[in-house]
Amino acid sequence: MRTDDLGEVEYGLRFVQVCESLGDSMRAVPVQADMGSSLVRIGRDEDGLLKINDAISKLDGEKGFFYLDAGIKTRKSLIRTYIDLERYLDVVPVAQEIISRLEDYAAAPEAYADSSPNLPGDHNRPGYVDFYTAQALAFITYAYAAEGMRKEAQEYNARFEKTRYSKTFGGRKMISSAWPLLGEYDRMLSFYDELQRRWGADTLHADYAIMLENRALAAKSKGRYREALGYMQRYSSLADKLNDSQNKAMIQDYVAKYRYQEQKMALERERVAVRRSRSIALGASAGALVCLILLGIILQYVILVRRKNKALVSQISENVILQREKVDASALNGNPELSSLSDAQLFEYLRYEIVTNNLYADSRLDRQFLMDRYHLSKERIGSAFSHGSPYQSLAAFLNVVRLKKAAKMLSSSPEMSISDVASACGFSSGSLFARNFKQYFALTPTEFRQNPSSFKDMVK
Amino acid sequence: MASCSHPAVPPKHADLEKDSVLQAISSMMLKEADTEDVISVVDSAETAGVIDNLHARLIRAKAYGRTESGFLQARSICEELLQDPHLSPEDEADILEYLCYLCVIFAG
Repeated sequence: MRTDDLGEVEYGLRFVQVCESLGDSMRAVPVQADMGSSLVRIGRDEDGLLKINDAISKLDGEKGFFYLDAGIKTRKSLIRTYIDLERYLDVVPVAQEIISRLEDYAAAPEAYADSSPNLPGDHNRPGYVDFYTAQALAFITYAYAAEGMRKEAQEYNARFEKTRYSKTFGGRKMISSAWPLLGEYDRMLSFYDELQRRWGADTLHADYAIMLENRALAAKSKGRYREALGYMQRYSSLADKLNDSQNKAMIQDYVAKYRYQEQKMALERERVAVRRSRSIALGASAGALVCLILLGIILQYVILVRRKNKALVSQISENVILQREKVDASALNGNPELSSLSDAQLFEYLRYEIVTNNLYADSRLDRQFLMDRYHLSKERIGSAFSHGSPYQSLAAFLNVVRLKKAAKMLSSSPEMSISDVASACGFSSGSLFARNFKQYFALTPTEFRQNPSSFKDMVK
Repeated sequence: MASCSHPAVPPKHADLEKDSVLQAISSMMLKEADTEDVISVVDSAETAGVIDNLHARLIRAKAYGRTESGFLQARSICEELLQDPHLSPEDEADILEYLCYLCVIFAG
């Protein structure tokens, strides 16, 4: 555990929030990865690794030098985390991916050109590529060495030695952790002398502790046990300081803070999701309500029309029955004295004659025909129909009788054409028939023929 | 610092001067110039009004933060800057980003 991990978590969380408020959340991605490393170091391995891998995916999805650079640095965070967790073999593919990305960049730098302030110029590009390549090689060397795979470690160490950084202080610092694992204690001790000259006195720093531990190992390997003991005591004291109880309390405090921030962000995300689903549900409900209202209106209209039609049909039927009751039976069966009949009786007589003798089927049937056939005056016939029947005239009566006969024929004789039906029922033309039929039944003869059952009451 | 003006429009004199000074400081830091030399240039630029106090303090922090011995000083300057009630979100982001960088560098 290192003291600055706490600062990383605290400032990292705050930085993420500020970037989000500025609408630039991508800027915070590399820092999120560093926070992931710190989380692992404070014991939250799963959360930490998730954060780092999530950051790498986000950065890999973008083009340009800024994202390449951030992706390399984020992979370095992942490597350090794997080393902290002693998952050495997981280090190798991550470091190899860094090398592969740097090779791509070196081969086609124009594809990565963007406005990043860190974008190296042509002059600095080889230095940038070599530096991170050397670092990746150092990581792989260390990982293989720590895993006990000496041959592979030596191979990568040789590759590292060929880089321009192998001789610099920074480069030797990169690879120095692998030296004691490869048994190169003298080399390590010489480097540590240099390191100590630069760093001065003891410091609360994990690398310093590692150095003391390695010095102890080196002294032990050479049989200088007293010296080794001295280094181990100093190492132990520093390690204690780095892991003291105060730090642990602070860790818990920061873990709690981190969890609180995470929960706050999760709640906010949840709130937004709930608001969105509420809006969708409200819209859907309103749409469904409108559809239901429309359906109700249509249904009411259909029911109303049907009721009206039924009322009309029953009114017509009642009138016909009433008229029939008024007729003297003798007038229908014998040879009546027509002149003595009332208007209603005469109408019923004529109706009977016209229907039973199929007189309506003759398109020439008119008032004159009836006058001649039954020896009645023009006025007497007119009065029978205008006062003794529900019809205004002989023509209106004939039209209704013919239409009803035609309707029956349309449903009972599907083989007959429309014009044959018109002619058989006494209509002088097909167009006249069609027009009157539509007027009376509110649909064409063809439509009627398709669904005659709905109108059976009207054709009785 | 790069100017955001259109290339056809020459930048204002003050901006040009500020850019030159910032570039010079940045170059000094890259070349690992002594911290005292960098601080001296920043002080002069601040006195001349080329850079404001907040940015001068942040650059000083960055100059100190290049070495392990200056880490605590750099961190303390940044923490003080974060207390400034007039801090813009952009400046706050810059300071926090640098603090995170410091923590990563000195945490391992």
